[in-house]
Amino acid sequence: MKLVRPCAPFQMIEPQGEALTIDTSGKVLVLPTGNPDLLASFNEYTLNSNRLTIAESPFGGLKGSTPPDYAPGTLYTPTDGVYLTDTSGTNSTKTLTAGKLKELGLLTVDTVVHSITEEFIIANTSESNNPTVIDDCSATTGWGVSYGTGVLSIENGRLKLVGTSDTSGRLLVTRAISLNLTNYFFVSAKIEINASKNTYFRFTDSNSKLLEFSGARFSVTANTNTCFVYPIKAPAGTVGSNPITLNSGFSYSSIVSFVVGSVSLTPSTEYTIYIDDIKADTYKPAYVELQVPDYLTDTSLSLQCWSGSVYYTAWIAKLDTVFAQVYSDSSKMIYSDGTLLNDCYGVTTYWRLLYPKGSAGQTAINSVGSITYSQNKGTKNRVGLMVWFPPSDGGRTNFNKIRLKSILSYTDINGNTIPRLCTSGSSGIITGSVIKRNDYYLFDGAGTINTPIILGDNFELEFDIEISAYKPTGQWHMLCGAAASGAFGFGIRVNTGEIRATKLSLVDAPISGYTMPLNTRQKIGCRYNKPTLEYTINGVVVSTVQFDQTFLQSPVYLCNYSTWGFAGKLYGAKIYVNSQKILEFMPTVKNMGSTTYQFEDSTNASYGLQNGFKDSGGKPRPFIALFDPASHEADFYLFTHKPKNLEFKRDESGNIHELKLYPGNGLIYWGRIHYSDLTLDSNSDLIPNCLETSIEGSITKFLQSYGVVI
Amino acid sequence: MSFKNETVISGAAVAAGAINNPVAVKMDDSLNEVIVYIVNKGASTNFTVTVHSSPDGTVKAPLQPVALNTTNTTAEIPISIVPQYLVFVAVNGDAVNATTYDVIISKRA
Repeated sequence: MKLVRPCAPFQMIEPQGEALTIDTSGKVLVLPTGNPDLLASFNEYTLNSNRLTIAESPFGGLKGSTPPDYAPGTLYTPTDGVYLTDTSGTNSTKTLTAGKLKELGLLTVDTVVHSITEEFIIANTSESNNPTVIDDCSATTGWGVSYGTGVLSIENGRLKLVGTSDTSGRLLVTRAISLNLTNYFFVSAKIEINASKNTYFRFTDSNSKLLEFSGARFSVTANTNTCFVYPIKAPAGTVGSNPITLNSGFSYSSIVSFVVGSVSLTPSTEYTIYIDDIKADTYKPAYVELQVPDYLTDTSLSLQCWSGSVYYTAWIAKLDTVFAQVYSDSSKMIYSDGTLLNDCYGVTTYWRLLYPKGSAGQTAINSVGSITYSQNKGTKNRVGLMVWFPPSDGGRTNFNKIRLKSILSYTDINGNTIPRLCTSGSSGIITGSVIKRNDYYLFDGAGTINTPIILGDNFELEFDIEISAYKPTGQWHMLCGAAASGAFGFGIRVNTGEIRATKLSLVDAPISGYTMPLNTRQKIGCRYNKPTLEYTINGVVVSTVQFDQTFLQSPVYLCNYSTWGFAGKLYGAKIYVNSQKILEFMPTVKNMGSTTYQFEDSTNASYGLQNGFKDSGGKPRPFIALFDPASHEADFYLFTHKPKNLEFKRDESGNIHELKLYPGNGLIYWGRIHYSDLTLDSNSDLIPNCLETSIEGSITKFLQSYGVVI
Repeated sequence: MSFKNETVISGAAVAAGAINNPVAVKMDDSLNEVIVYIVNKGASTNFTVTVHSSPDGTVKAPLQPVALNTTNTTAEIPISIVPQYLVFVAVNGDAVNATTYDVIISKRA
C-alpha cells in the first residue's frame, strides 16, 4: 500500500492481515539496538564509516570485522573443512561477506550493466575426505628395500629407512599389497628425507603397468614431513599434480605393489627417509551459496576460473527460476596448482553443479542433484555452486583450492532482460516477447530488402537503445528508411553520437544540440502525420519538420549493412502505422536489482530482531526509522508489540522501496518528522542528532514515552 | 471556504545554546484541523522546536519536533485533532549563533 502524509504526532496504519506491505522511499533503515556491533547495518549508528556507501554498493554491506552483513554478493559454505578466502589466500572464513570483499577490492557492483562481480577462493582444508588406510606405516611387515640398500625400522609411528642410494641415485622401499582403487580418486602419503630432494611414488598393477608420480613437482625440503596428494585417475602430464606416467590400460582394480622414496638422490650416499600415513581417498563436494537480488537475467551467473595467469570463462547458466545451461567449458575449471578438474574426475562426471535461486531452507534442484540452502537470513535469495575437491596436502601446494570470478547479472521486478534483438550487419527476426506480424524483417544486410513495412502518411517509430561506442562519420548504428538510387530515406540515424534527421533527396543533418550519450539508455523516435515530421527523445519532441512525403515501401533498418552496425544494446522497438501496432517491445524498468532482506526472531547479531528496539540501557525503543540522508524528512513506524518479523526490498539505486511490517497482536503507527540535516552529529558518536536520545527533537527522544509489549 | 493564517509567535528570540521557556497558545474551540508552520528566521544552524499538545497550557505531551537550520528554515506540521493549547519549546543547539523564530497557524476559515 502507499501511505499519504501523516498528521502529528502519528497515525495508525490499518491492519491488513499478518503483514503490512508499504511502498516506501529511503536509503537508511534504522532499528535501534544501543550497541554498535548488533544489527550493524541497521542500528542507530548510521554514520559508521564501515557501512558501504551507495557508490561502493547500493545493496549495502559492512567493512571491518563485524558480524556478517549477508548483503548481496555474500558467500557462505556449510561444508565441513571448506573455507572461503580472498585471492591472496587470507581472510579464511565460512562466510565471506559483500562488505569484506568490497573492502579488499574484490567486489564490484555495476549499475550500468546491472551486475555484481566478485573474486574469491574456495579451499578444502581437510587432510582427509573419506579415507581408507592403505598402510599406516606403524610396522615394517610387508615392506622391503627395492632400490639401494638400508635398514627399515619404526620410529614414532613412522616407517624409517636408513640407507644408501644406488649408483643411479635411487633409494626406494616397496610394499607388496593387493589393492583395488577403482572407487578412489586420490592417494596421499607423507614423506620426509634428510635432504631437499624430489620424491617418487609408483603403483604397479598385475600386468606390470605403472602409475608414477615423480619430479620437481613432488619435492621435499630437508627434514620436513611433507604430505603429497596424488590424483590417481589423472592422465600423465607435467603440470599440476598429474602423474608423470600412466601406462595405457593400467588396472586400478588389480594393483599388486607400490614403491616410495626418491630416484634423484646423489648416488651412493647415505640418506634417512621417513614414510607415513598412506591412504586412499575420494573427493569432497564443497557447497557454496551466493546471496543474490530477487530477479536474475537469463545469463544469471558467469563463472570464470583462474588459470594461474588469467581468468577463463568456464560456465554460464540461467538460475532463475530453474537451471538452464548457457555455456560450459569444463576444461577451464582448474585447481590452483594447475591440475584440471577434468583430469581428476573425467569429463562426463558431474564434479561441478550450479543450483537455481532459492531462499533459506529451500531445496533447489537441477537435473542431476539438489542443494538445501542454509537457514541464513539477510538477503533472501541465493544461488548454489558445488565443486569436488581433493584432500588438502597441508599447504604444500594449492591443489585443494580453486580461484573463481563470478559475474551475477540481475534485472528488475518486471523481469526485463536485455534482449539481443540484433547483431552487427546481420539480418533476422526479432523474437521472444516481441509482437510481430507476417514475419516482417526489421533489419537487413547488404541492401537486400525483405518484406518491407509500408509506413505511408501516418506512422510512429521509437527505439529504446544504448550506444556503447560511436561509429565513424558515414557509418550508422541504425537507420529507418530506404536508401535507394543514392537518395536517403527519412529517418533516425545515430552517427558519431549525433542523432540525425534525414529527408528524402536532401542532405541529412544532425538534430541541433542533441548528442547520443554513451552507455546511457535513451528512447529516440520519430512520428509522421503528413506533412509534419517530429523527432522525439525520451518522449519529448526536439525537432519538427514540415515534409510532404508519403513513405511507401519504406523498410525499417536496424544494424544496416555489413560494415556498419550496432555497437550497443537494443532494449525495445515500437512501430505503429495508422495507429495500428505493427510491432512493440518496449519493456519498462522498475526497481532494477530489487533485493529482499529478511530479519528473524532471534539473537543473530546480523539479522536477529531480538537485538533491536532498545537503547544501551535496555529501555524499549519500539520503532524503526527510514530516511534518505540527503532529504529533510524521516519516517518512523511505532510498534505497540515488539516485532518478530521484518522485511524490506532495496534496489540498485540504494532505495528501500518496500517495507513489510508485522504488527503481531498489536498496532503500528506511522509518523514523519522534519529534519534539516539528517547527518548532523553534534557529539561525533556516529549517531546522528535525529536519533540521539539526549537531543531535543530526535525521533528517539520524541518517542521515549512509548513502551512496548514484548 | 478559505484559509486563515495567524502568526501566533513572531520574532521570538532564542539565545545561542539556549532552551526557551515553553510558550502556550490557546486554540480556537471551533478548530478541527490546522497546519502549523515553524520558521527559523535567524542564524542558528541547529534549531529545534518541539510542538506539544496541552489541555491547560501547562501539562504537555510532545506532538512533533522539527529541526531547522539556515538553509532549511521552514517546516510544516499537519494536526488533525487540535488540542486546547499548543505549547512550543524552542532549543537553539547552535552554541555561537542566536536566532529568532515565527509560528504561523493556518486554519480553514
